[in-house]
Amino acid sequence: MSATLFALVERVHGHVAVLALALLLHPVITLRTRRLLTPWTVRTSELAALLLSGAFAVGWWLYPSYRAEVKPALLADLPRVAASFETKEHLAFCAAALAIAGAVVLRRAGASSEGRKAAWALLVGAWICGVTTGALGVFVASFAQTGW
Amino acid sequence: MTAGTDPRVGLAALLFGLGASISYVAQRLASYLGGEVLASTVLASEHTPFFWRVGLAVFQGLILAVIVGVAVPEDAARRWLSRLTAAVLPVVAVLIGLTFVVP
Repeated sequence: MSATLFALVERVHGHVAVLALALLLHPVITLRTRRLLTPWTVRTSELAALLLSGAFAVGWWLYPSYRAEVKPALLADLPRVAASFETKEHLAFCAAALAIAGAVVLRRAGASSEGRKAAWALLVGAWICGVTTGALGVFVASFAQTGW
Repeated sequence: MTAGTDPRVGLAALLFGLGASISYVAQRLASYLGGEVLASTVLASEHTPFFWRVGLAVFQGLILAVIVGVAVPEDAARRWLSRLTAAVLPVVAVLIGLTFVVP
């Protein structure tokens, strides 16, 4: 992968993740503020889970290039930043897994109050992991600007 | 299509999310505690631990979800769905902490 393509895909990856996190706020908020479950709450949770998984999949695609081209220099010059990248990867996986679980719980058990509570807890967990991932991503990207 | 009321699928999905996340972080901790080569000393490697961890965590989460979805009766699933819901956010907080302690 060329450095320019890497930089382009990396930005798309980040923007899709931010969009997913913004969308995830809809079910997180409406599951707490509304007594009844609306179809759009279910749909936005599914779309957010899909987008988060998509962002994770793009990150998966970029990872071999990062490992070969970016990580060695980052590890040599700024080991704490390289460590932050690893933490970001761990939390990104947790965010995607929890978001998928939350969306499935909401779809298949959301008509019951225990199902809605379980979905809310999972989606909030995904959102917290996702926001932490995003913050770490911005931090790492400010040091590792490949392709520029 | 509206939301359903199936607590067994709900419990299975919850356990997939929690199980896969816990498995991923546990694998990372296990490789750290088992002793690993310093990353800065590795020039090149075929093995990509991140891919293996993700694959294994998804597999274990799915196995857990299928076993629970098939074997747990509906009443028990409803009870456990409520109990495990209370554990989700504390577990997530611990996992986040661990990923910072062992990157």
